[in-house]
Amino acid sequence: MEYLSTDKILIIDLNAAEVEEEDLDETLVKEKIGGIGMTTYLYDKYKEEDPIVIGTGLLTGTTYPASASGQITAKSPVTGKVCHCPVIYKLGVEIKYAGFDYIVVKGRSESPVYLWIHDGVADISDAADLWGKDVWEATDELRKFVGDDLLQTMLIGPAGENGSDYAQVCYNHWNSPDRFGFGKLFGSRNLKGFAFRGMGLIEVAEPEDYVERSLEILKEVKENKFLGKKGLAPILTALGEEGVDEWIDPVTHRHSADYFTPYASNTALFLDEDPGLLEESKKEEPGVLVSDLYALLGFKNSGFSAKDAGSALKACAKYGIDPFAVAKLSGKTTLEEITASFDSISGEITIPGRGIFSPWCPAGPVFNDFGLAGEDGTIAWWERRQAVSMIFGIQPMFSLMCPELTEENMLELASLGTDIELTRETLDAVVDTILG
Amino acid sequence: MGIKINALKCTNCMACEMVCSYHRDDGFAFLSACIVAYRARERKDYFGVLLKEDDVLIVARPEGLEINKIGEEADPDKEADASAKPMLLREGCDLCEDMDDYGPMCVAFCPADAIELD
Amino acid sequence: MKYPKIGIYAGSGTSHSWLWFVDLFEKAGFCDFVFPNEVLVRNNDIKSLDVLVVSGGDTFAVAKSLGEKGGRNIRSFVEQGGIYIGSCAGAYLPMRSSKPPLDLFNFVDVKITNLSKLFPGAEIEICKSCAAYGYDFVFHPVREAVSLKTTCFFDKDRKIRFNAPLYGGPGMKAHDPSWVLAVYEGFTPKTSFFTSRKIAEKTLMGNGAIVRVPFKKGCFYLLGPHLEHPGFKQANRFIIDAVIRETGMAYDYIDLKTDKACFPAKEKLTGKKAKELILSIRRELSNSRIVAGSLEFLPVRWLIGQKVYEPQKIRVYLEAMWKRLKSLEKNKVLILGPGLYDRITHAAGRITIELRRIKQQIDGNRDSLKTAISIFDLLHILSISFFDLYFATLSNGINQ
Ligand code: SF4
Ligand code: SF4
Repeated sequence: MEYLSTDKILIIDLNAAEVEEEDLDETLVKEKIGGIGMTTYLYDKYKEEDPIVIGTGLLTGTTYPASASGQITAKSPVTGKVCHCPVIYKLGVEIKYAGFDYIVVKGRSESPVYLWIHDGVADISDAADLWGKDVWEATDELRKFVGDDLLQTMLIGPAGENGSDYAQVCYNHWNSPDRFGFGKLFGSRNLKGFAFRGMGLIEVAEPEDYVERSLEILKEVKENKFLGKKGLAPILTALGEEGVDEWIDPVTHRHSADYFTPYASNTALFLDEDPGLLEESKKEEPGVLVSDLYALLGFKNSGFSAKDAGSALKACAKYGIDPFAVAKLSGKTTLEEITASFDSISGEITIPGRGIFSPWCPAGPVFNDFGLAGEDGTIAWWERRQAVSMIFGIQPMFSLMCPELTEENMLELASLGTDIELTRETLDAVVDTILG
Repeated sequence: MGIKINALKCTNCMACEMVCSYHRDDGFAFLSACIVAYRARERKDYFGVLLKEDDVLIVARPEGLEINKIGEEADPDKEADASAKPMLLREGCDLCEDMDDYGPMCVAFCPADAIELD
Repeated sequence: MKYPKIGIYAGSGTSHSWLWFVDLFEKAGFCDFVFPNEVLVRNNDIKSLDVLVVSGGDTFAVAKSLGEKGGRNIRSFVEQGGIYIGSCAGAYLPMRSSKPPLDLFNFVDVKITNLSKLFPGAEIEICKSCAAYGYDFVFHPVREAVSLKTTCFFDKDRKIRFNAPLYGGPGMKAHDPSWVLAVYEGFTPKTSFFTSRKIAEKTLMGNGAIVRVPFKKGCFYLLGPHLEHPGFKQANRFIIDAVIRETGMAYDYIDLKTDKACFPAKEKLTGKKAKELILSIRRELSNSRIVAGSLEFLPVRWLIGQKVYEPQKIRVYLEAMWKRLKSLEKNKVLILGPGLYDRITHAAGRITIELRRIKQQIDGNRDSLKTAISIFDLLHILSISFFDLYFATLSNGINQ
């Protein structure tokens, strides 16, 4: 597969400590398109070995608006279902540029390891020194070792190592959309996680048309009024929550966006520093970056100040535990109690619909109504929208905001980018397989 | 004529970096961009934009613009010289002169309208 | 068709500009290269070459490492029909100087016009890295693109104009004016001035920018500006035309030179071993370019010998190898000289370690000069070895 692709699938066998590469066959792209279409296929192919499959969408890392996302597809050790966790921030893009479209991890390592994926090379590296470290320490240590602060990581913390049902795979220093206990899964394989860095080049079949259409679509997207807003608070407000602005403003520093994503859906809170500070903070850890709406809301509803909520979120990110589960299930109302409760949380969190997509993002439209009516229809719409976003690699929260990112134009750009005729029928078939 | 960056509007999305590199490479990559979304201080949530022009490097930081001249002689007495300029060997901004339909790509694609043609 | 055998000097004292010559000649379709260092020049392993290129860098360091023997061998190489192409530092090298060790290379009667003594009383900033040349100082009036005009060469009636960047190279006055193939004609909007415009004009305008000095059976080409810079296509073309013309590529000129024994026999590597070698090169080049990429944003530079080195130059070496890796990977058979396998894997691994070390030194505000010196040495060793492997393998593919 020549275009919009690195042409490579990586198969890592942790039992044998071996790495193998396969070419990504174009006929497979014609059938499965990409993203979770392909990771689902790869999961099934290696089902006997219950693999962890990492991937990126067909449009990930291009000029298509919000083409930021990658995904982890694996069986949740908590629910037993094959689920899809979006890979956000700038990590999804890094996976593709690091030289592999898909990575299948089979087996369990004898001793702790991490996978160092760079420029088309995959190294199974000893993680003895990282095991036991929290997500922040491990990320910092890897960046220092590799000599690059732009190294992107996908790691577990103590929660995953200890086998907590709420253990999350975290991205860089931050919490992720993982509500499936994938952190526990990584831990059970003695896999501390991944480090990615890539400086590759992705070729496009019709570059000029691809870029031209991307800009046209972006211009339509920019007509949306909500783009005048930034951060998590406006989303919560749009979803009907009250008093969020007043609560969070005093600790809000800046908002940032995932790769090429027009809405900045990550909010940085400064906890140990003046939130109005413009220059670089001299403090080592001035705050925390938050992408999880419902975790934030959960702490708010438990009566936390925004500052304490931020501190709790930071502690969750370091420990590698799902902050939403902590906010909802711990029953604690102070920061000290929360951090002391990480290992003793119990209870269930509900995942809407078929239970295969993360309710990290709202289970319905945001800012725009997409012409939806009843609730049943909404969940079905939401699941399809999540599936389509993660087939093409679109940031799954932004796709809930922006009707201008249509299935038609995703298909159109995928065809322009790859020179493969991709139709709605193919897309329907792929979505059907994913939804089962 | 040049481009003007408002670092306070920037959301660090890297769109400018991608399209700038595209206009030189005709594929998708980041390495040849002369505009770069600075993101090495992630933990401190400190980001901005670097722009290399032919003889100056513009650092658009949230606290203000800094313009550094490139090509001045270093003081060889100083072993690590803080006046050394990054991205020295990347090509400078050519305002996308070859992209007839677009003009400056970074301006066209910045989703946050943080870049303008001056 | 025969190709000229081109030696691109890649020993001590050279800067990354020799990599530009590799790009230039490879793009023009030449494929017979060697990359001699000072030891090979001193051993006279250059005698089988048709062309010897000495690129930019630190003239003093080049002269010192080549020594008396190296000087003697270069002289006899040209006397016996070789073409010497010197750009920037490589152009200064064979000019007259009284200062040791440059006095070992007094081959051509061409004078430097950018000497401070020629401008008594003028305000010329002599930077500390500017070189003392004999009793005088070479100064750099301008940097970046300047414009040149040919005087005569292929076509006496038609004068061509083109631009090329000047990074410290000489303005020249030749003993015989017919040796001058192109003069400095003007500045460009990109030229930056380091003296007054008047002095810059006086130093350069109308003086030689490209000089060809006949020397018994061969000749010296002295290039003031970096005609080999990848951003200057017409300037590049000038060099290629000169090489084609001088070596008479279309004729069997090369057959006259039969002494090819100096470069040792090569062996073939196939299958798993070949794959392993490529993977280990890819791994270490990737590890290195990742650190080098992050160094690009750090405010540091090093003074090594007489030359200032920025971290970006590390990337130039690495990218020169990286971009050729794909074509190398396509070859099932790799061709290597003795010891090359170990040299490549060792140097590549060491570069990663040293780069990671230097990043930590810079982050921790610690002294990094020693590490920088060893990194540039290792980059030299690795790139020479890599290009040996690359060109031997590719020309083997062509021959098959
Ligand atoms: S105008 Fe073009 S060349 Fe200049 S920074 Fe923007 S994209 Fe790059
Ligand atoms: S495209 Fe605009 S918002 Fe995005 S990084 Fe560049 S300047 Fe910032």
